[in-house]
Amino acid sequence: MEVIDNIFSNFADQDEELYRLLTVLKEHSPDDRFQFISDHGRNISIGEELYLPDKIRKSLDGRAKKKRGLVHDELPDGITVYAIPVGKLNAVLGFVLPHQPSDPAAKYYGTTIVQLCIDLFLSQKAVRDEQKFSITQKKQLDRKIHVLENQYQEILEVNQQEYRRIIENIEDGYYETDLAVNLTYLNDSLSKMSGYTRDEMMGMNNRKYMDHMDTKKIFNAFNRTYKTGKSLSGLEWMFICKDGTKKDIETSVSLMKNAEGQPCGFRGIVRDITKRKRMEEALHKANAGTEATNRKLAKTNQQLEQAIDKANELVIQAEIANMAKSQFLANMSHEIRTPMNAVLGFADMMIDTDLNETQADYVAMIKRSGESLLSLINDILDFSKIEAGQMDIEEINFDPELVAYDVCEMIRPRIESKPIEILCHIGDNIPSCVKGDPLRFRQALTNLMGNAPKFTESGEIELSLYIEEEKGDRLKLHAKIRDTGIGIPEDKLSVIFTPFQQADSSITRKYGGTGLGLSICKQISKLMNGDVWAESEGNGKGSTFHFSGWFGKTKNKNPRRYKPAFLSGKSILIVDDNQNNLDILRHTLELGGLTVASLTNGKDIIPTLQQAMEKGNPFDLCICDIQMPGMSGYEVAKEIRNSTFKIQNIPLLALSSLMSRDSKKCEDAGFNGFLSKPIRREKLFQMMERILSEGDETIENSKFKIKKYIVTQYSLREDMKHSVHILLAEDNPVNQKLAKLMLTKAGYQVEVVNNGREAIEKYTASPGDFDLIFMDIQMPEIDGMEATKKIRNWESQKKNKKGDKFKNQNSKLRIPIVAMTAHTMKGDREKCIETGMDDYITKPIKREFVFNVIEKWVLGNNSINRGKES
Amino acid sequence: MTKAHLLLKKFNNSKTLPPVAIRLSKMISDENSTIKELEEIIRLDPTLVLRLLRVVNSSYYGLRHEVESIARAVAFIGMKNLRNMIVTEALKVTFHKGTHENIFSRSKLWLHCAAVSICGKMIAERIFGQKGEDAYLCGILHDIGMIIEDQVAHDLFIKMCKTYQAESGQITEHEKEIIGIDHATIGYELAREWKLSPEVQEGIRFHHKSLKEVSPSSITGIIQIAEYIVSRSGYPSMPGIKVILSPPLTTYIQNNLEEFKTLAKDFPDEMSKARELYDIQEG
Repeated sequence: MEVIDNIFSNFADQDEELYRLLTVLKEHSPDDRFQFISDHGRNISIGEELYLPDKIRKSLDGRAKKKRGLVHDELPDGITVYAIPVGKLNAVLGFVLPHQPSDPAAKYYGTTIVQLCIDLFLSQKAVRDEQKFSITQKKQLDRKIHVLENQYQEILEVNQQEYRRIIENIEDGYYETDLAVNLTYLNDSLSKMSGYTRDEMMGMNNRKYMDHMDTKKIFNAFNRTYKTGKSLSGLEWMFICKDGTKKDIETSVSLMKNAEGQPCGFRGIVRDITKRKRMEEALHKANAGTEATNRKLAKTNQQLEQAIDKANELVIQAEIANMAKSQFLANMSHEIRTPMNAVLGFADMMIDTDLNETQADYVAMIKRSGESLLSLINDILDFSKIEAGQMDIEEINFDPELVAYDVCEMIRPRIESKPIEILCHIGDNIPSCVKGDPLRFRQALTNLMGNAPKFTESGEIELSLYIEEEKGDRLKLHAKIRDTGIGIPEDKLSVIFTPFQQADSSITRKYGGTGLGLSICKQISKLMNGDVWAESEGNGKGSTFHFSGWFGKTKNKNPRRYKPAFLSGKSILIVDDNQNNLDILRHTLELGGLTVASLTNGKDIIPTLQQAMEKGNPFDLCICDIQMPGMSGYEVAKEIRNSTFKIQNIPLLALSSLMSRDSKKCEDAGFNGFLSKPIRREKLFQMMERILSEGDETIENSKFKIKKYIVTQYSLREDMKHSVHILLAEDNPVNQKLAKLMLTKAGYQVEVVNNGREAIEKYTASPGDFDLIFMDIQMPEIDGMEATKKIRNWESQKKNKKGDKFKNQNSKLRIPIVAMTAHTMKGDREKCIETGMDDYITKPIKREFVFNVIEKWVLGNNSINRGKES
Repeated sequence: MTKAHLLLKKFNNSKTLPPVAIRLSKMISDENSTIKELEEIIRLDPTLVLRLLRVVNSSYYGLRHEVESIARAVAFIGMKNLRNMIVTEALKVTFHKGTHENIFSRSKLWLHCAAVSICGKMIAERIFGQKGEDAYLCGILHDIGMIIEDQVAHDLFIKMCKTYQAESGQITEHEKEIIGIDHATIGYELAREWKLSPEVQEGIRFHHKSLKEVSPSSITGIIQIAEYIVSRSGYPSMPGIKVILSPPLTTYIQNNLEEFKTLAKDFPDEMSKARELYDIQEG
């Protein structure tokens, strides 16, 4: 069905148009005859038909369409028939003019009219079509709009539902009202809040649930919202619930507009703030309370600040006072020590002069009193230092064993003639060098051990030193001082460490003492992070004092192992009535690689020696204690030397607890060597080496007719002494004399100058003349410190001045300068070292210290005592 | 029927359709699907939202205020419209792969489907004063069977295209001959699988069939009329294809010629307004 192809070109529609056209044409040219012709035979006409033969019809139709314009043809009866296509209507119009004009103008006129009519008709049709089109278009668009509107409504409803759903689910109340503020909508929460049902509340006027004042407030708020269009929030008012209870409410209100944008009502959120309000009130009350408290606190603060200011002031005052005290102490110390120096020094020297017994007695007493006084002064000074917190602990390298032996040495004179053995036991792993304060360590040990002779009549006083603990780079030394004295009652064991306390006031009278010594010990031990305590059962059962302190390890960690090669393998016989001593000695010797046999009785010595000799294992040396019950050491020696056996030539070494005067006696008795107890390992071995190497000579020569002088620890040093030149700088004539005497007596060469200036002059004039300078600190013109500085400057200039040739010579240009000072306050030592001094000794100068210092700085370089710490 | 199922199965496995389309299909029929579910689907394709909003804000919907989110879009144009938009977006890609331009072009087919859907919507709204979403959906999907054939029975399909002659009758007959099944049936099966409304299913099924009885305002009727108008406006599905118009529809058109003429006149305008909707953007 070809109809389908172009529905839009429908004939029924078109026919109407054609007829219309014909009507128009007929109106204008009533006499013409019109007919639409087409190729399928349909002829549309009004009134008369044209009666066209087929042939002509087809020809006209074809030609008109082809030409797209006017064509004509002759009918058989001579009538001209015209044809013109009307494209828009898809048709061809045929027509015949009336009267058949032959006039071309008339023909033209006739055909033109037809053409014009057609054109007019077509344009009118276009307008009509357009109109129809517009109308239809409008109709269709209206339908579309309608559809969209429905859609829109649906969407709105869905949105509304969704919206309502949300509103229903919130905790707060939600409301909508009309412009008269009557409720139009409320959610569940609001209903619950109010106590009314939804139905009850709908349309309810607000006066029903709020009081007069609130109504006014709310009315104003809604009014404002209406006028300005802006939302308000935070409106607080009181809601009167159904049951009469009142609730604090907070509301927001905003203007609702309809689809046209006109205000149509109000809406907002309603929140129950009763709880919050109550909390606010409570908070407010609490705040008021807090304010009052705050004011009180402010006042207290002010008072506190004032108190702090005052305290600070007091602190400053205290510090000033402290400084004044320290200064006083320093001055006093110097003032007191200087005359003490003289008293003691000269007392010492007087002892060496020729005195009768009475004089000797008196001098001894002067000396003792002087020493007592000095020790008291020192104690007081130390004590006040401690009080002022000014005592501090050095960190220098020293040998603890040396200190221990030194302390024992110091104690020995106090024993006098009592039958007491002094034992010294040093632990094997005690290192040869630790870091700490040797002075304070010595002081503590001296204080602890120094009491023992006082309270012991007979028996032993043993000092043992061992390592208690090691941690990292520090170690804890523990010293134990055991005596067999009167002991200390248990209840006094801690009291004795408090200052100025003795165990018993009667003791002070009998034994003397200031009562400060032990408390100082305690402080020292505390400063070393250790402790001091005593153990005793009292009643003559003796006591043990303990001291512990932490010291630093040094790089030389190895405990000494003195293994004298020369002595290795030698066999020694040791004799002592004191088993402890014997044990210590055996231990020491065996550690040194020697074979040891021991005896406790003098009688057994000779038989033992004999036996050994016969067996073929003779002893190489016999070490013998002097003070023994039964047969004394002297007697033993005499017997051996007088014997006829081979053993008579055995080297003998005497050990004595007593003073050095015995050395002569021993020599006479036939001993080759003499050592006082307690013995230092090194000294022992050195002595033994010396004896055993000399011993060979003795045997070859004719016995002991050639007297070899007995080797004592001091004689080991004697050789060196005579060549030492000392420069002494001291302004006080008394001290000058004292020092010079002391030094000359000891065998040194001394030159004295009066002040620093003279010292510089003397030294720089011929530096090579002197080996050591003793420099007093307080001198007129140029004092000790300044003099040292100047000397050092001079020395370094000298070094740099000379050329390379002389460098070697002068590189050693540095004379040891030792300060002699009465000042022992904090920082003194450092100050001395800073200025260029090498060492210092405190006044009043003591012989031993002086000699030690000399030994250290002069003889030390040449000393045969190797293994000593430098 | 079994043949259709087989092909469909093959097609589903071939993953030709973008995931969005597949997920969406499950949702379309559900009246209660929420905007949230829709948003989840959209999230599968990140740029989809942007494209959707571009369409929503284009002159096609003529909204006064710019819409910035899908949720707002729903508030203005409704869920169904939005769904249709998403389907369009999703299918655009599938239809775009062009092969054998002379014999069969997917992009030409797409243009045809877009035209039919837009025209169908116009007819539903402007002629019959009813909602046009279903007509739109049917229009977009009515020839999808061809894509399926092209995808999973490619050689046969091409052969069919080559040998089709418009004079010999409807293309569906020719398909049945060569392939064993026609695209209308396949499309119908897919619509069933997706649980689209029965009206839409029928519309797809009979779009090439001359029916003795068919209501012009039904989806089937509207689609056939739309096909007719569209083919005369220069958007054939394939070159030289023959369009069917059931007799009742012909009569109706003739009786309301002015309406349809007006509509046909407005159609190109509408097509250009909807460019954003169906036009495949390059790049």
